Amino acid sequence: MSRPTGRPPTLARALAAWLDGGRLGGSLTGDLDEEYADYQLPARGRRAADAWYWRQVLGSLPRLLRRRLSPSHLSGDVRFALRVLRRRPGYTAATVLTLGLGLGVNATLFAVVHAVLVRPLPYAEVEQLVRPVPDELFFLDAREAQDLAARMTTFESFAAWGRTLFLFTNGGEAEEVRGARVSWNHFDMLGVEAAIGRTFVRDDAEGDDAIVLGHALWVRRFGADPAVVGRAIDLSGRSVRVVGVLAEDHVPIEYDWEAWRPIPLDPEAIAGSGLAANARLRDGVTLEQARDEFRRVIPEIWAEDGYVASDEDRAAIQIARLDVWLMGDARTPLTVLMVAVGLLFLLACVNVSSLMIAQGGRRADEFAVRAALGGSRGRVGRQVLIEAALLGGLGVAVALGLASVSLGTFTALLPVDLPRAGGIAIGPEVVAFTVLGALLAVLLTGTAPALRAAAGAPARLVSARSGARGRERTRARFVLVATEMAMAVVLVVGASLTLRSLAALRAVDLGFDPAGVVTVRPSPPSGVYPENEQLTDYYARLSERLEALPGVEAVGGIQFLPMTPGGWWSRYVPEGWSAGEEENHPSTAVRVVWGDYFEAMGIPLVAGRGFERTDETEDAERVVLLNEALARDAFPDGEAVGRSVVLSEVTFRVVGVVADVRQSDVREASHPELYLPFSANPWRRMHMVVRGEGESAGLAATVGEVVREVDPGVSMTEPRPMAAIVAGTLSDAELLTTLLTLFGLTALALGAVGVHGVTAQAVSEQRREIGIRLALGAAREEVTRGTVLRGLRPVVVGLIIGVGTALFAGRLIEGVLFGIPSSDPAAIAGASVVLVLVAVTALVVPAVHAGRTDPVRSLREE
Amino acid sequence: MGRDDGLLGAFEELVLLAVARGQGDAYGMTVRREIEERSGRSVTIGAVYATLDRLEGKGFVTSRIGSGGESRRGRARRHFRILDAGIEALEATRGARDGLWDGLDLDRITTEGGRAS
Repeated sequence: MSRPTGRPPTLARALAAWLDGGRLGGSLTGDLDEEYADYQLPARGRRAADAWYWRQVLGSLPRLLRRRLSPSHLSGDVRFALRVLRRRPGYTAATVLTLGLGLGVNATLFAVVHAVLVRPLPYAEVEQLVRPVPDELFFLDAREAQDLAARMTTFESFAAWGRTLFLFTNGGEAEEVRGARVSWNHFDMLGVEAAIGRTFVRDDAEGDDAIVLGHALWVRRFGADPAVVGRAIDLSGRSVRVVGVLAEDHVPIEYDWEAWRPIPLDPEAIAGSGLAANARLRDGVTLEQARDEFRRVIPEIWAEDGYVASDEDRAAIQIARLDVWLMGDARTPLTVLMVAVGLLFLLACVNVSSLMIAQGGRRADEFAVRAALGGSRGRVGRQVLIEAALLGGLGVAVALGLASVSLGTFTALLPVDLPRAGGIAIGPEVVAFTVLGALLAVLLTGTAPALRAAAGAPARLVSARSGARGRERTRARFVLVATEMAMAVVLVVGASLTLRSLAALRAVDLGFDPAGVVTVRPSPPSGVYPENEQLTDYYARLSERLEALPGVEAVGGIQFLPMTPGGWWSRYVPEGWSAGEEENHPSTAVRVVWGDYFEAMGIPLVAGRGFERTDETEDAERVVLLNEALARDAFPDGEAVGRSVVLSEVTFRVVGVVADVRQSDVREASHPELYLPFSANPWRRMHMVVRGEGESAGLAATVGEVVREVDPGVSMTEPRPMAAIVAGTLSDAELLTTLLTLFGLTALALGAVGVHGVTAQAVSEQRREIGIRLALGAAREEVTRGTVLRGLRPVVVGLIIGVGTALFAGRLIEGVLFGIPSSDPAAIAGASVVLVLVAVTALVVPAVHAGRTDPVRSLREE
Repeated sequence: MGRDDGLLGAFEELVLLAVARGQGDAYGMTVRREIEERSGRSVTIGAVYATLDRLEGKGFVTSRIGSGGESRRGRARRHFRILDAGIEALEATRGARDGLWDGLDLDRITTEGGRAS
């Protein structure tokens, strides 16, 4: 189509050029091109000429392929090496597969690491983009954000954002979409432009009716219709204008955002706080300078609100690079995995090296003959290196094949919130990395055998069985086995640490009982349920219907479900504190609960009573429940029930204390929590919690039907068993454990093959010696035992070195472990036992073989 | 290819004849076109080159690299010239064939169930 006239079909021509191999000036391709342009095209027209060209190339394929790969077109050494490799199919296959496996695992993981960690974020001058952390310290309101933007001189620009949910109602089915309210300059600051239309301008923040759509959302809900830009769409019952659509490869600040609306300039127009922010540093400003200024300015703003920052608060303020912060959670596990596969790769190299040395031992005579016949040392060494290079090349082919197969499976296993997982592919970088790895492997594995081969003097032919050489080889084998074992130990220890950590995570007492519980979160639209009264009515109707379901034991609700994101923190004043100290009063998480939430979740009541229906009536006393952590914090001197706390200047009486639960994550200890009844602070989107008997999958479907029946106009999240939500928070730990276990097993297998091969080789070399010993009356069991014990010596040395390395390198993995230190004795002991068992198993066969040596035959063989 | 009698295979003969007709200026494309035009057989460039390489290996032809025309986009022309041994081989092949043809009249041959006149 875009091919200039007179040019043959691109693909066919590329194929021809490759087959031609650039030999002799590429004359064959030249012939085809010339005839195509000068004869075929003018005489027969484009289509016939193209067909002719294709026929020529394809018809020539078998012959040219043979010519291309025929020995006469390769250098003598390569030809010889190919013959050597072909004559030893077992050795060649073992080497290529070992290399391919080692390189393939590396290529797969590198593809992930490259896509997630290395590839720069698609923002302008990423290194200048920063993010003040931690968020909780300065959940800003719109006015504070504007203040900050004005006061920070080290920031070139500053843009706040807050997570939000948009309810899309166009075209029938309602859908909740995760997105953000952002300062109008958010996209400008990032350097992101819209693919269609535009991003926000200042005018958009004057009013409040602009929206920018993410690419996937635009395709999903608007059929990729470009005309939607400029049009008004329906959002939670109000009309907003689509100003632009982002490009497909846009990376949002948070992975699941799909829509953006501006934060209005008028701070009063948007209620509440909870904004986080990003900023771009001015040219030449360092992170430290920005941090110092930020530590000065933030407390000033707080002070105007009457809050005095403590030294701790100040010290906690940091400015992080945006890219580092975005990848923060993924960085440690990926680094651990990359180190693990690196070790695996080295292990594979050591294995290949020992294969090559064994091979070299077998070929010592060949090399000696060649040297005696005048083959220079350099020539013989080069020969071995060329063989290694060929094996490396084949290894790369196997590795890339393996990686392209495994990458699909691997990405499917990745946690959904892994940032930028979309771009994972085998690109040029991955190929380059693999080739580089192969080069390294060739150098690592080929050099020693090449040097040994080159050192082979003609004299060897005569003294080929001298003891000196045997000792030297034994020493080399000892080092190889010890090295292999050391690396295998590190990997197996890593695997057993993550296994133990996962077990610890699973054993955590959550404080609630997820079994049999199903949750769903309906979104009653504000158009239909504008006031608290209607909301209360909706949830009452829904609860009634759910409670009536057969097998349902309890129904309740909460605004932030355990194990899911979201939170609301507030300062509180316990009874007995003087008002004067208020600015430094402690804070607590505040949860709004509906109905029989505690019964439904299986959270035990520790003291007092739970909420009752009468607490929901208008003239009832205002009551709260505390969790144990808050009860301890607020009333360290004793009984909490019956005391009071003040929250936003309203006094509540504590009627009960409930057990602590793991609120945000299995890994995080419980923090203070205060529970309000729904009537005290009605919440639009409640997570409904339904406890039933029996299997939760069926209950989930029924719950979904009930929500639809109560009001088909209310959208909802997919009803899910609570157990699945808890399991979901462990999926990344499970993935890491699975992978490390897999790598550990591979390391064990490689190590076993290495130990077995090396010992078998030693046994076959010592047949004569063993024969003599047997002839002199040594017991066969003794020979067998002796072989195992000798074989175990390098294993033990490797074990000691490996455990030492594992202890030393423990800090690397510490960040992904839960509940156990990286020096966990059980994990290390377990790994050591497994390793020794595997090594003994690998030793048994050659050892038994040694014990069965026939003394007469072994002596006659010489 | 195990043919040590100095005789040429049928396709080798065609290729060698085409090179000889080129008067020292033959190259891949002309050889291919010459065979196609004169013999009516459709020939691929790969087959031509494979044969030329073999003939060169036997010492029947020699080649040199020359510059190419505009439509070759920088690709060289590999010119082939027939050597004395090649001429001898052509003559020997022709002689052997003529000897076999001598006195043979295809129309008189009767094959089983075949044509007879």
